[in-house]
Amino acid sequence: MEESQAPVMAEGGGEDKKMKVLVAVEETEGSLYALSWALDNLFTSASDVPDKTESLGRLVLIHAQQPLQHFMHPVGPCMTDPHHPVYATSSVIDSVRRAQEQNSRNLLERATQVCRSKLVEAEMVIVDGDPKEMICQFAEQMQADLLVVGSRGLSKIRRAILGSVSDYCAHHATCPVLIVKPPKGNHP
Amino acid sequence: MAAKAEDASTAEAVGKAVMVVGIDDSEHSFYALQWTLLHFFSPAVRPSGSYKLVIVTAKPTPTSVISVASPGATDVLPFVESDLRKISSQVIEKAKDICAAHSVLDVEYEVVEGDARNVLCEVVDKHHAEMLVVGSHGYGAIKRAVLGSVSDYCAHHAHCTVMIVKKPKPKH
Repeated sequence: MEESQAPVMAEGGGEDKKMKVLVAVEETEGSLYALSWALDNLFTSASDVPDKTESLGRLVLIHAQQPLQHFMHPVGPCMTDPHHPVYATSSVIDSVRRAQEQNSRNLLERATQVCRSKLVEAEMVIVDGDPKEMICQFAEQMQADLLVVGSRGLSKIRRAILGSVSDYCAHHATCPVLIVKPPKGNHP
Repeated sequence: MAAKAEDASTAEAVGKAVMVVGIDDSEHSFYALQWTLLHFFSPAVRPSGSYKLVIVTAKPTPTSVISVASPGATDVLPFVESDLRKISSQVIEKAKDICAAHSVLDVEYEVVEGDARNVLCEVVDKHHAEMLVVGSHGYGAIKRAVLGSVSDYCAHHAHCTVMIVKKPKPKH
């Protein structure tokens, strides 16, 4: 059985051990901790090369933005017709979108700094859509060797929503999934 | 002097982070083990080999496998027990072969009796492991319906990072 499995696993020689690692970055402490855990444990090498990524693989950070709701529920007198929700004006959409993009940029900026402090260059990707689906899709597209997600890094309210990103990925990603828990004693 | 040398070696052992790999007799878990060795223990990636590897397999209790209480059940128990023991030792033997094939020598092997979910989490706690690796669908056909959730359980309850390695589905 090992003979038949070996060609699948070890294509080529020693250099093919480089990993393409996709790290899901969210606005949570748990997620940034997952990133630094991944950097510490997946991208270490004996020698201190200026850019460790070169020798050790490719690190991609992915941040998924929730799609904007383009309509708002009417709360005023226009509730007469529930089938025609009030659409937000384009200026409102724009400012919400800009705020969201600013948020994402800040987040990725922080993530880049974490990477740089560990001497690892990372690529950034921002995708729109449902985080869990987009992350798994992207992992498949880029043929990631490993998908890293944080877990339980949030308050109880959002845990129900985002705790399921790691769950979803664990079930649906086609590649190995690494779920990083925050260290004990950390407040979400 | 001997005591000091021992202390030094224990200190060295303590300095290494522990990685626990849970396996059973399924292809998926051997794939997970090989994948882990390939990416975390190959000389190219880790010249100093900074993880200590603990490979553990859970041996179910015979009573948990026989669920029907029938008059002949007690007679069957010893056979079931020896079967289970044989399977577990075969699993460990195969794991040893795989590790040897990847030139990974600093490995501890454990067979622990009990339910896989609890066994893996306990072993993690016992060794203060940094990481737990499990395959997906890592349990035999009998319990797969119930324990496809071994990886789930560990992902939620283990006190460390959990890596779930899946065997890639063949593309049609």
